[in-house]
Amino acid sequence: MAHVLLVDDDADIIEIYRTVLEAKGHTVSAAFSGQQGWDALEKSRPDVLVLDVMMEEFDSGFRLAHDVAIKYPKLPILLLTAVHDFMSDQWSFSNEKDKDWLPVVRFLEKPVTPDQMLAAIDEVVHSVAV
Amino acid sequence: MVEGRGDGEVGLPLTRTQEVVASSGWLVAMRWVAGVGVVVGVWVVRRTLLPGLEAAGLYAMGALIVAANAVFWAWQRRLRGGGAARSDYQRLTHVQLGFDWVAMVVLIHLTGGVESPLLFMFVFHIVVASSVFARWSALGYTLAAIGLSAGLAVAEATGLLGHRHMQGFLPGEPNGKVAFGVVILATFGVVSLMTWAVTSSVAARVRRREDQLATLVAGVQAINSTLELREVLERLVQATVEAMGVQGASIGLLDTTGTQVELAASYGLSEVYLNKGPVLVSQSPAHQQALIAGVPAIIQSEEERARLQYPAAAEAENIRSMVFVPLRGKGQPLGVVRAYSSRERAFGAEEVRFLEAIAAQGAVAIENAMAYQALRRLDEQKSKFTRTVTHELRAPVSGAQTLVSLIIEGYAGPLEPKQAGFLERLRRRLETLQQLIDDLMSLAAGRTGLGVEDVGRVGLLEVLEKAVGQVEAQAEGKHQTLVLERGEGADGLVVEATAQGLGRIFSNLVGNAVKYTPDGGRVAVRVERVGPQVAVRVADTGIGIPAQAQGRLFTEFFRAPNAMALETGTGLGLVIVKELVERFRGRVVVESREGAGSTFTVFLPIVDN
Repeated sequence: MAHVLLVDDDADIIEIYRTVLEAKGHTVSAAFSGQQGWDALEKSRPDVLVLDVMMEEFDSGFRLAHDVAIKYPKLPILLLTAVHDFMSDQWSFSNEKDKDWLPVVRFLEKPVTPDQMLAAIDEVVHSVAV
Repeated sequence: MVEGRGDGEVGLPLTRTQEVVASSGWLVAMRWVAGVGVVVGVWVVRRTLLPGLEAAGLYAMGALIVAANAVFWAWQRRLRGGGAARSDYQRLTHVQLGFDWVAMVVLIHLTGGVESPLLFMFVFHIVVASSVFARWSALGYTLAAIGLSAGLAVAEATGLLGHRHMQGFLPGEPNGKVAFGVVILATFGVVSLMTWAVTSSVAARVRRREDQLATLVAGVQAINSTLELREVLERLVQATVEAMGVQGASIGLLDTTGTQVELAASYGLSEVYLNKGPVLVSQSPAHQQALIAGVPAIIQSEEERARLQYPAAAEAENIRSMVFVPLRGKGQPLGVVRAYSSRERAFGAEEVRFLEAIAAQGAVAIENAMAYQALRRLDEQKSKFTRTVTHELRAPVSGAQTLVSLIIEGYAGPLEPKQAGFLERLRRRLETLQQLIDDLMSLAAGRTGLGVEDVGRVGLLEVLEKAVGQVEAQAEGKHQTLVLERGEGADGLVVEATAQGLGRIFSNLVGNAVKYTPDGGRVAVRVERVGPQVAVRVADTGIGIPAQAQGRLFTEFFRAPNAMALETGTGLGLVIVKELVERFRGRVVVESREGAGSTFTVFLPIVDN
């Protein structure tokens, strides 16, 4: 089981995934902004980071992911995107190409169903364990 | 684009080349007449008026002129074949006129020297030289004509050359040959020089006009070729300087407050002069006249210089006269076009008119560029707006979807079957709503040209494989046969598009095919090369489209009645497909029969490797 840090400015979304992940035995910490996410990261040292791209700023999630990549290059990140189409214009990296520098394991396009989230977390935890 | 300006010519140098070409063509044509005319004329004159005329030499000259002309004709033909520069044509013209001058002198000698009526034929030659060549070059020809004729007369008078008198031509023997010769030669000299002066000055004037016209044409071309304001204005001032033969020119634009004139482009002026300081409308009566009264201001004397804000700077720059012409936009003044000359009183009505024409061009360029900038700004704002709206609309819908699936998947406790059924319907409704938002935003982005990535080379098959892969599970669930067929030349096809847009086209079409084909049906995607295009046919054995609905298929929110009865949808998918296909310079065609199935064919131009 893993310790998951959820960073999203939508309290409902946090609540949904907390319910789902805890039901399956994962530990969940939550943060509601990029800054809070950074602080929580320093404190709680999660196994996986689930990050919403668009929070208080259009690209807060990307910025946080970028900072995390520098300080914690091994921490796997799941990025939740609402509008993947537009994202790719500005941050033109692909999963394959930029995995090296940005430890984004997956881009999950919203809505992400509980099952999809669980599958993604399991996959990440599994691949890190291996 | 302004082309072929490497030789420092203003405007369209081709025009003058053509002038020389045309005149050399004309010279050749006239010379055929001259050569044959000599022979025929001599023959007729000998038969009628002067039976004693010594004709052999004249016939020989006629033949020589024709023979030489054949050479000129061939030479000219070769030049017209292509690749010749203006100087090549000029050389040909010089050689021709050189020959003509010598031929004229020989003919004059053979027809009585100073008594020859042919002497005045030279005037015609001088007209030709003066209109083709620059002023001083033409004077050279004129003086050569006078000199050669005088030299011939002297040579004959002194016995250096035998005088060949045309027997019976003159009314009586001249009273003292010297007087006759001098009078004739002097008259000839005066007529020649007058002809040269008038013709060459008219020709120079015409050429200057032609250059100015070319400058204007080049200006129009510059304006049409770029929306970069600075570039257009730079070209305009440079062309102005070259066409007017002035020291410098500049364009100043009023700033947003309307109090200061900012330098937008300049040519031929020193850094020192350009950096003399801010030009304030309130400090410069000359600018006031141009900008506020809208009347050109001409400054060409010491006293008039007092109307400038920086008279000392103008003096230091050796500017003796200048003219400011207003640049008028629709209704309001935009700025000034200024021309500077180191000569006193360099600007007259004609120059002002020309500058006004330049100013009109500048105004068009400025207004175009401003409109373009405003559009770009608007575009950026719209882009930001679309992004925000998409996010704001999508976030709550996707939140709701996730919440519903949380309940459906039992995380909030067990559900009654009836509850589960309603929630499932709710989930589908939300899915449609979300699709609608995506489609609307995609359309908005496409129509405004926003969020639109640049097109590039995209491999078609990979995109199709992905689109087919996306609906495989769905097709399997409906026990459909879903195939991707590679027709002739399908491998490695590349089209000009965006991967995302192309993906969207085919996931829409293939998704529709699967959606509107009953269980056990067949969906086939076939790629093949059709000439310079690729055709992708998405064919299904589905419900088909009623004939009366086919015409409206690509209209926003339209859905065929039989599709509406069967499945939910936004009525935007095909609109997006059509827009994207057209953006990638292709077209989409539909064939369908209700109850039998539909085939959507997308044609796209192939990019060759």
